[in-house]
Amino acid sequence: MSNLWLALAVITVGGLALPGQSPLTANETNLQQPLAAIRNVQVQGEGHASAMEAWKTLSTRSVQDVPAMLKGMSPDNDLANNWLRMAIDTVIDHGISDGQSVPLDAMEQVLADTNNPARGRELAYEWLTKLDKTADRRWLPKMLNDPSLDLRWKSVDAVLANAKQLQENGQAAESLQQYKTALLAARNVDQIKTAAQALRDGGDEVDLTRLFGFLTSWHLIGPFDNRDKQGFDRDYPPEGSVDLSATYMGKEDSQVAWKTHQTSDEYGLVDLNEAVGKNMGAAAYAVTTFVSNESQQVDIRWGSTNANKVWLNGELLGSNHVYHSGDGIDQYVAQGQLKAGENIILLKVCQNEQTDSCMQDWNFQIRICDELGTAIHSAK
Amino acid sequence: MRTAKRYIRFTWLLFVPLLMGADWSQFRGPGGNGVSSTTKVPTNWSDHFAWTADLPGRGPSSPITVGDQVIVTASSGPNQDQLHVLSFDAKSGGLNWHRKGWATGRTLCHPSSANAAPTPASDGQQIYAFYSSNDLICLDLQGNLKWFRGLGADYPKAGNDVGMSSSPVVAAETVVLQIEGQNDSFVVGIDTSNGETRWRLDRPKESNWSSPVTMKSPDGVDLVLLKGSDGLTARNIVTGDEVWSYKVAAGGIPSVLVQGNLVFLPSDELIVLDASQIVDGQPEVKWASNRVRPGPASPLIAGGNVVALARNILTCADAESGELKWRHRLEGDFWASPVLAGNRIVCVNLAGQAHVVEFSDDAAETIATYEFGETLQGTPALADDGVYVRSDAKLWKVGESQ
Repeated sequence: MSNLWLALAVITVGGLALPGQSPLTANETNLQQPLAAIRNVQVQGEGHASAMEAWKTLSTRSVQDVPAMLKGMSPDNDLANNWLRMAIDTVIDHGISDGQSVPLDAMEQVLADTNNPARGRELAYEWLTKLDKTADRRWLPKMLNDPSLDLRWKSVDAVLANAKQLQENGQAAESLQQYKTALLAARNVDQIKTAAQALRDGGDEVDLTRLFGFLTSWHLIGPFDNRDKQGFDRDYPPEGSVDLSATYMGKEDSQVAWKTHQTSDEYGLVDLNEAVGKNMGAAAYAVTTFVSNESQQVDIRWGSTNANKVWLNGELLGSNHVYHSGDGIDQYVAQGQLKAGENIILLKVCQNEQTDSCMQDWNFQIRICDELGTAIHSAK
Repeated sequence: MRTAKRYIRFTWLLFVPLLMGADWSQFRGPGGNGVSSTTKVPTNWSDHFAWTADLPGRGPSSPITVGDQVIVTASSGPNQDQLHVLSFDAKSGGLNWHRKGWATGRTLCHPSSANAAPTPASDGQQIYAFYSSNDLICLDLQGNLKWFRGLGADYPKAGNDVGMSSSPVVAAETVVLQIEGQNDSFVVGIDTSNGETRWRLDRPKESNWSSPVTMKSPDGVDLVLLKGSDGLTARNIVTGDEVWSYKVAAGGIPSVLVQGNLVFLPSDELIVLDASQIVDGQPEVKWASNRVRPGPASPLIAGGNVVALARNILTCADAESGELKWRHRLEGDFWASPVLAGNRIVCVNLAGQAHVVEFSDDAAETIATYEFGETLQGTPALADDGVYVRSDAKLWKVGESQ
C-alpha cells in the first residue's frame, strides 16, 4: 500500500459522508478507502499508483456494495468516475455470472436521490433499465427536469418518441402538447430543434433565439490586420477599452468605426463577411451589453469557425487560435461571473487567408445560460 | 498469369515466417503495413459470413484481433461522449465483455465521423483504446481496467472539432499518442504499466490525422515515426529522443508505411526513404513520385510493391524503384485503407461495398464485390480465419465459423 493510499485511508476512515449525502453504513465505510483513492486521481496521471491498487480491491467487492460505490462517485471528476464505473460494471458482471442478486431496490434509491453524484445516478439508471424491463416506464417520466443532462436527455427522447407516435396515429393535438413538453424540458440542441420543427409544422410559433438565449444586438468594428495570423495576439484598441465613438486605424491604413448590427439569424449567427465586409487576414471586434438583475455565475457559450477571444467585463474567458476546424452551437464554454447591472461582453474574431471555398466563413454566435443550458436573458 | 502465380508464391515465402498467426493488433495490422499472409479472402462473401454482431455506437475505427478476441471501439450518446470497448469471441461472435467510459475531452466532430475514430492497439497483454476526445483506456484481455488517462482533461484545448483520428501504437512498454491540432499540439509516450507520461513533446500547431508507426532501427532500437506538417521524425519510443528526421510538408491524413528499412512517406508525392542510410541525421531518399501519392487512405505493401489508393484509383509501383506496375479503377469513395492477404486486396467504400481485387505484378482485377448496405469507413482487419468489417452499427466476420 502506498503512502498516499495510507493517507487517504486515514482521512476517510470513520465513514464521513460526502456533502448532501446521508450518513454511511458500516459496510459503506469499508469502501471509503479505495473509493477515496480513486477519487483522488488527477490529470497528468497523478494518483494512478494508488488508484490501480484501489481498483483491484473495488472490482472484487460483492455486488451488494454497488449502491455505495455509486454514491461514492465524484461530483466533478470524470477521470476518477471512469475508474469507478469500470469497477462497478466489473462487479455487476461478475455478480450476474455468479448468480448473485443485484440490489436493484437500493440502486433505485441512488437514482431517486438527486443529491447523489450525477454519474452514479446515471450508472444506476443504466443498470436498472438493463436488468429490470419495467424501470424505463417508471423512471423516464420523472426525469424530464433532472439535473443530470444525460437522464434528462433520455426522458425528453421518450417524450419526443411518444409525440411522433401520436402524430402518426392522427392525434395531432396530443402530439403537439407532447412536443411542447419536450421543448420546454430539452437542453440538447438536436432535441430542441426536433421539437421546434414539429411545433412549427403544426402551426405553432417558436422563438428559438430566445429559447437558447442568443445575443443578437451588437456593435462591430473592423477589419484590423490579421495577415499571417499575426493580429490574433495583437492588442488592438478595443481590447484596452471600448469607446463606441472612437475611430481607429484598421487594416491597410483604413479608418474603422463602430457600427450597430442586429442579426436576424435565429441561432444568433453574426456573419462578419456581410456585416464588416469580406476580408481575408482580418480581425473584427463585437461588443454588447448584458444587464443582469443580480450577481450570478453563468455559462458563456459560443461558436465560431474562426480564431476567437471572448472577454467578460475585461476578463479574458476564452482564447482559441483555431481556423476552420469545426464549429457549432456551444462549441466553446466558459464560466463567467455577471455583476448586477451592466456587463460588457467583447469578442474578437479573426479570419485567416486560406483560399479554399470552404474556408471563407467569418462568423460567430454566443449565448448566456446556466450550467444546464437554460437561457439567461438580459434584463434590458 | 503464370508470372503472377510465381510472384504470389514468392510473396508468401517472404511473409509467412514473419506473420504466421500474428494478431491484427493495431491500425493496418501488426506491421502497420496493411498485410496479412495468413488470411484467406473469399470471393463469394455472402457464402462465408461466420457471424454478425450489433455494436452499441458509431466508429470509423478498425477492429483488431488479440488471440481469440476481436476488439472494437464505439462511441454513442447525444454528444458522442459515451465510450465503448467491446471484446467478441472470434469463433462464435459472442460478446466476451463490454467496458464503458465517459469522455473527458472535446467530442465535437464532423457528422460523418465519431469519437471512436482512432483504432485501438494491443501489445498482446493489454488493450489501449483511444478516442477523438483524447481519452485512453487501458484494459487487460479480460476487460479489467488497468488505468484510464484523459489527455483531453490534461490538455482541454487538444484536438479539433472536425474530429481526431490518429491511432495509438505500442512498443517497448510505451504507448504513443500523436495529438496534433491548432491549439495544444503534442506527442506523448505513456508507460504501459501505469499510464504515466514517459515523455511529451510539442508538435506543429497544425491539424493532423495521420497515425504514428513503429519500426526498428538497424541496431535494434524501437522507433516511433511521427509524420506532420514539418515532415517525418523518428524518435526512440522509450525516451522520445530524436534519431533522425526528414523535412517536408507532410501533414494530412494518410499514414506512413514501413517495410524493412524503407519508409514510405505520403506528402505532395510519395517519398521513399532508406532508414538504413542516415547522413547528417537525415535518411537517404530512394525515390519519390506524385503518381503513387495516396488520398486519405494509407498505402500498403504488396510483396515487392507499394500500392496507394487515391480517390478510386489503386496504383501499384515497385517498392525499390518506384517503377509503375499497374493502375486499377474501383467503384466508390474511400476513407478506409486497403488491406492485403496473398494476392488479394480488400477495399471497402463509403457506399458499403467491399471490393476484392486480385493482382499480379502487371495487372489487377476486381474479382468480387459484396454490398454491406451500410456506410463503411473503418479499415478491415485480417485474421487467420477471416476478414472483420465494421460499420457504425455492426461487426461482421467473413470467413470460417466455429
